[in-house]
Amino acid sequence: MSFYLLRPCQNSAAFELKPHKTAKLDLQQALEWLRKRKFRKVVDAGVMVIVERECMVNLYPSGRMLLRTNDEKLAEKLAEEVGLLLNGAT
Amino acid sequence: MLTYSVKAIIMLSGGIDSPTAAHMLQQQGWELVGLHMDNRPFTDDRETDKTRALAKHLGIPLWMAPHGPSQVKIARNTDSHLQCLLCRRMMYRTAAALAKQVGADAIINGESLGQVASQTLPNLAVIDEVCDIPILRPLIGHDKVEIERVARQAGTFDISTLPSLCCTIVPEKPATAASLPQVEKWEAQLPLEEMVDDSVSGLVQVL
Repeated sequence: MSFYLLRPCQNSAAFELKPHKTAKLDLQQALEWLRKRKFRKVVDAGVMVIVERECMVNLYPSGRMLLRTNDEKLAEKLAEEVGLLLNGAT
Repeated sequence: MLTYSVKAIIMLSGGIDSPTAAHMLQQQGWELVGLHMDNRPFTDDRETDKTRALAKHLGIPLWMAPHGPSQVKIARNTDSHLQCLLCRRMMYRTAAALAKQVGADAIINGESLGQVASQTLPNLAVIDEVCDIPILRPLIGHDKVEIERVARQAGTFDISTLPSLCCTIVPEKPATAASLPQVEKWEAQLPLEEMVDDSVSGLVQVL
């Protein structure tokens, strides 16, 4: 599954990753996968989770993700990696 | 013009609206005490930095209280459509406690009607029920263009528009016409007393 990488607004401090098609992300499975890749869990609020490695990343059940950095190159690199979750990476 | 001085808590964020509301009332001689509900990790450090800079610019004292832990409890235990409403009711409980502590008679915020989904008349009515001191909204009938014009005059616009992260736990479809019984039903699922105690005991004056 492919995705868009967007900057929500000019003064936003994050990039948004949005799946092209409606997706469903199992947040608990995603957390396990991310842990193996050295992401640290910041918070699990049930309706969304926040993890951190180079920067914080928010994940939502709809497959939407927020890459909390101003660095476009880092956002692209992280999008390629966490975007694998939308392809069913476990 | 008849003027009188009121001491009030201003719910201050790093955005455009609340500093504008503060400025408008300062012009009328109101004495304001800022309260910022610290929403990390659902926002970032830049939001708190901006709020401090805005309070400094306005020349008002600023208090901060932790709010992230309350957001988690609301998200985990209630209907996600009500997240914003329950969040705001929690904020006003803390604000009312601070008002008592500093001798303020009202709570001020930067809400204007219909600007975001949670700011509808039915929702504002539900929010107002949460505390026994008045919640006042100087911007209620203003549109965004007018608010930005006043923010520029006040010198807060450039600080408010620095990069930061807005709240990231906002539901995709927030309730726009919640009722008090519906909200109270969900609040019964929350350890409200503990949440308020945690927030109030975490109050710190930072300016």
